[in-house]
Amino acid sequence: MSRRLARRDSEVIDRQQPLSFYWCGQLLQGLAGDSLASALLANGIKAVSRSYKYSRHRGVLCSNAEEPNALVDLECEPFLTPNARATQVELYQDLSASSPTAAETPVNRFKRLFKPFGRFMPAGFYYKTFKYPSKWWPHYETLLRTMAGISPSPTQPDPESYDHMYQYCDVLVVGAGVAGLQAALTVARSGAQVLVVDERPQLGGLLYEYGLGEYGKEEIAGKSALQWLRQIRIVLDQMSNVRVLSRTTAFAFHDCNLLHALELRQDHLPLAQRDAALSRQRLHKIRARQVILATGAHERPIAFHNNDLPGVMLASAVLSWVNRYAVSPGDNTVVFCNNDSGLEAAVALKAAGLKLQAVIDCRPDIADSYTQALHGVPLFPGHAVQSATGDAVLQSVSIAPICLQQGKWWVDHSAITNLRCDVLAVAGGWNPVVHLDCHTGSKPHWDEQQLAFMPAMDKAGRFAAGALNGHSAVDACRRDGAFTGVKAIQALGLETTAFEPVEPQSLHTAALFMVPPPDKRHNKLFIDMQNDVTVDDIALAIRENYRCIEHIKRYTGLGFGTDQGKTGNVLGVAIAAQIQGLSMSEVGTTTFRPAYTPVTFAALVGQNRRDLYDPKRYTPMHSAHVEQGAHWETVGQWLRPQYYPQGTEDLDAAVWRECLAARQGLAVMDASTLGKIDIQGRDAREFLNRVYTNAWSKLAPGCCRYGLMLDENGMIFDDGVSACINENHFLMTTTTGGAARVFIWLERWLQTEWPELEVFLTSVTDHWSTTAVVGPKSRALMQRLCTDCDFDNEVFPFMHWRPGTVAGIPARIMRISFSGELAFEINVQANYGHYIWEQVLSAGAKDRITPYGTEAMHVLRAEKGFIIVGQDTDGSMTPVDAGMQWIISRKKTFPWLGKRSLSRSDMLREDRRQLVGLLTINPQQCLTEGAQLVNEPQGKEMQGYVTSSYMSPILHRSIAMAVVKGGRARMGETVYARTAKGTTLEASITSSLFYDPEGACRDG
Amino acid sequence: MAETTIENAYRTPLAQRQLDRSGTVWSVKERRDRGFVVLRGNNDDRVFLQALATLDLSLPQPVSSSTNGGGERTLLWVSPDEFLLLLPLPEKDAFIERAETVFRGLHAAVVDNSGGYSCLQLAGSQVLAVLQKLCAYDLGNTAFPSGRVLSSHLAKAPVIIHRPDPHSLQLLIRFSFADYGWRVLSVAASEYQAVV
Repeated sequence: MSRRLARRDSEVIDRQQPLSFYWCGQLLQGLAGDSLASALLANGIKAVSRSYKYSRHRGVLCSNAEEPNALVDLECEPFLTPNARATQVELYQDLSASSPTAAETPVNRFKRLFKPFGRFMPAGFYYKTFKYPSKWWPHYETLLRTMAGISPSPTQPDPESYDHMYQYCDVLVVGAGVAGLQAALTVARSGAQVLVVDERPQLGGLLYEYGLGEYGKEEIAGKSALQWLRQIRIVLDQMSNVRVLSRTTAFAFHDCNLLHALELRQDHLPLAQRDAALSRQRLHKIRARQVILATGAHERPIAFHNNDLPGVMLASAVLSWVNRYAVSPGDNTVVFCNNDSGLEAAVALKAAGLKLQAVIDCRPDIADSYTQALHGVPLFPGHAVQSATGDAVLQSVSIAPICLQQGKWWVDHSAITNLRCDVLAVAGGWNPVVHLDCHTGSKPHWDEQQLAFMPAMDKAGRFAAGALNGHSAVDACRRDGAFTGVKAIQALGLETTAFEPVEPQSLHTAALFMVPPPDKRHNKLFIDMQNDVTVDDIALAIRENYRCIEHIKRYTGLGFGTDQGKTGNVLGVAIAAQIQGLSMSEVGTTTFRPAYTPVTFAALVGQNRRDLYDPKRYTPMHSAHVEQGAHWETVGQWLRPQYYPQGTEDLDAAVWRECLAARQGLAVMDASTLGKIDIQGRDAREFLNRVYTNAWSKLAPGCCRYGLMLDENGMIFDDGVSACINENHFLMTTTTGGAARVFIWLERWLQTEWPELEVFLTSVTDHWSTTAVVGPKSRALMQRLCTDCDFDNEVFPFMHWRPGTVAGIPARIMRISFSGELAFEINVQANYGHYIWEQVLSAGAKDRITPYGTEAMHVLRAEKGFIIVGQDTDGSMTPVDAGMQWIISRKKTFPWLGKRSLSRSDMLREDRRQLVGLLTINPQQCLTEGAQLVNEPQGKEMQGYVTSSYMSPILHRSIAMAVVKGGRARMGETVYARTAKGTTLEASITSSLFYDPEGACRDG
Repeated sequence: MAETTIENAYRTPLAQRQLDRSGTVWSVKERRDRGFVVLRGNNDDRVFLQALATLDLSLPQPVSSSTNGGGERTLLWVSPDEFLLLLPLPEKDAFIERAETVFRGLHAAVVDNSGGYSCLQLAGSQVLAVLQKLCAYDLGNTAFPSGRVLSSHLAKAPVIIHRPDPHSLQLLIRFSFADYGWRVLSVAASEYQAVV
């Protein structure tokens, strides 16, 4: 049965476009323009969910973002959208929605068993009940977690896409109600760039509800409200400096006028019609010079016994169903209010042809204008709804006389009148939507005139307009919008004409937040419908000494739901104030935090997912590695080949082959990822002297030197080889992962501590590609590829570099080695890197040249005892700890970084952890990296741990590096390596130089 | 022979991507003919400015570029003591040699960074919309007029952005980040054109 009303001017539905949709599997009809909530009401469905804790039937309370009850699941995996507010879901053809709490699932059925015991489950029930015995907690937790939550989380990857967009404007207007639109127009006429965002699909805010002039009262600038709205929309559309984003919720307000807004770009379209090339939702990051908040106000309910029955709605929501969607939510409507907006709603509903059973106002007098407009409707001034009755949905209300005695409301429970009704429209006053203003730390203040928390607006560059300022009359909102627009123009420093400020009209709201119930016990006066928080829960929390509103919130769950207590929080504050005998200001509000309405994680992530989650940096030879079937290792953000398996080889087999090739034949590695810093200036040497531990004064052009960099605490920070290009010019290499950190570190010292040094540092990491040719046959290969350079051992010794032309490309050839083998690194401009790699491979083919990856590189360097900063060091290791005393120069005049720290008493302790080698007693057993070392097989006193461990192909045995307390004085001692799995291996302490101690291979 | 080898061996970071796309809505092209040379020297050092003049270069204003050599050489301001010269690739080596001579003895430096970047030329009616998704800076013609230069980010990669004229933008993405930059641009542009 359709509950659709006759055509109305204000309706946003399209009667020519009927839509089918599924509600809990049932096929229903709605119209284009409907929200899911309005379509359900049009089909006579009022109960849409069950409550979280007590499994009570719940219906739609509000008509927009503040809705606490009507949480629904949309579609199914992988398109499942959990916890959507039915009031904000736009209907589309074949929409499939269901209620996660009302569905007949085993968990829901189980939860309903507890419904009769609700009175035994007050606030703190779980804390108190599931404490004992404490060892049962894991079982309790499993059970409770099964029952907790509302919708299940989607488990499949979301197939839709999301993106971000940065926006800039002179003035951002949040909220396109009457005030916001007028403010936008006023500002736009000054020529400033204006951006307007609004959460609804239609502009106009509550104009549809309260601005229709059905009773000849509301006009805007001499026009009917709808005419005004259509006209301003056209005008704004024609202005090139105005952008309007509807379906866009500004959900976070950060410092410096940065706002985040979520635009629903395709949520209103059927799944089949969504364009895969477009994002479903877009997160706008808006930077505005001035912000006008015209966020409006939310109506608040009044608490009374059983006020959660489906059919009890906010008056603004009922107006919304009637005016916006042309739906009559019920046949017999009662209005219950404490202010004039409720009476205005009653007048509008009567004019719309709804059958009004009664209008109940807690105030003793009703103004004549309303009495006349409501002629024929039974009026009950000085009355209140004391309780509601119904089985699953509202069937009747009981009203009783109410009056204010000595500041407290007193209800005459002996004079009860029962009224049959199926809809109760409650108007309990208005809460300005202060959320965004509060996100940057401002606290709202309680206004006794408005009976509302008003925004502080104490931050620069922002203004409030309209209902947020306490305005209720539509034309007053328009004039306040214009006034605020003028203020924003002035703040931009533009010319404008003055505009008179507007004083808010009073709605004569009475401070009735809750109707005292007839029975002092077992009442169900709900404040927070989503978390089932009642007036009794607040009272209990206070009795148990949770007095601060933040504690009350956490003990009861008030305002913790996905609605963040938009309808209930102020009632909670009022009741806490009443119980404690405090003023509303003294109690205050809880903290408002982003997000204003829920935001899906996918929108926050945007396009930064999967492959694009983190940049992947490629070397110039990347495609060659791909062709060679490399397995990858991520180092920093670089993608480096870890090993190149052949056939069915696994990592161990490939590394074994690659290592032997480097030691016995010819191998090649891509070393382009190392950080490279060009250092130039007359003080370049002095600079190197200060940042490295060793001396650089005498390094001649054409020479290279290894350097170790310490932090101020004397701990190893980075290492690498630097080459002297000429007297004032050096090229420094850093570790792959440390490049950016080292560059910033060096610049910091240069700029802040040593500005007198004439040195320029320039990052050239990307400019150079490096191909390392390694192995006994590397010299011969270089001689084939490069004819203008003498590779004779005497002429071009180890730790030197020479310019040369390699395969026709100008190069810097460095004879340096991280493997301990004879090796040459060919450095060319990155654009030639791929070519050189290919040339080396082709020239080395007859020697079965073998590309090797980072894993073989690690084995080769460990055989030589070379450290990897970050693997064998951990930020608490000095050069002495690492056994590298030889690199510390005591002769340099200027105190290099870290020098002073090395002479602190703690650094001189003999039992510091020192880097040593470990050899397992059984050479075929390999230690686990990270294994802890102890002195006895069952010992508990940690002596250190294993930092690197490999099988060495050239030595045919396992080798390891470790840090051991006083290790260098313990050569030959036995230690035991214990792993988390419980295995214990015996090893003896040795030097960490395992292979070719004389360096004959390297120097060959 | 050597020249041919060098030419054939030369590969820009995105050479293997089918990158070049032209269209009125969105066009992107990787320039393959540019060399990049970093010039270091303090912008308040009179001697350095004279040296620049000797090289026929005019110092750009902060966050701006200067056009030199009949429009073929563009000097970008990177920081108060760092400038990036974009010039035709074949002229690069000769320029560096000359600059090294001119800078000798000065507190100044010349560094070849020609392998350091991929230079993308962007144009089309939706260029701003695409970049708005990836860069936090306002790149509109008002806030970022012709001749303006900026060091910022393209999604999560560092980038230098230059507006040579009102209708196009130039992105300098580091060689190693070029593939990532290309992919984020592709995804961001996908709604305006099926392929980048």
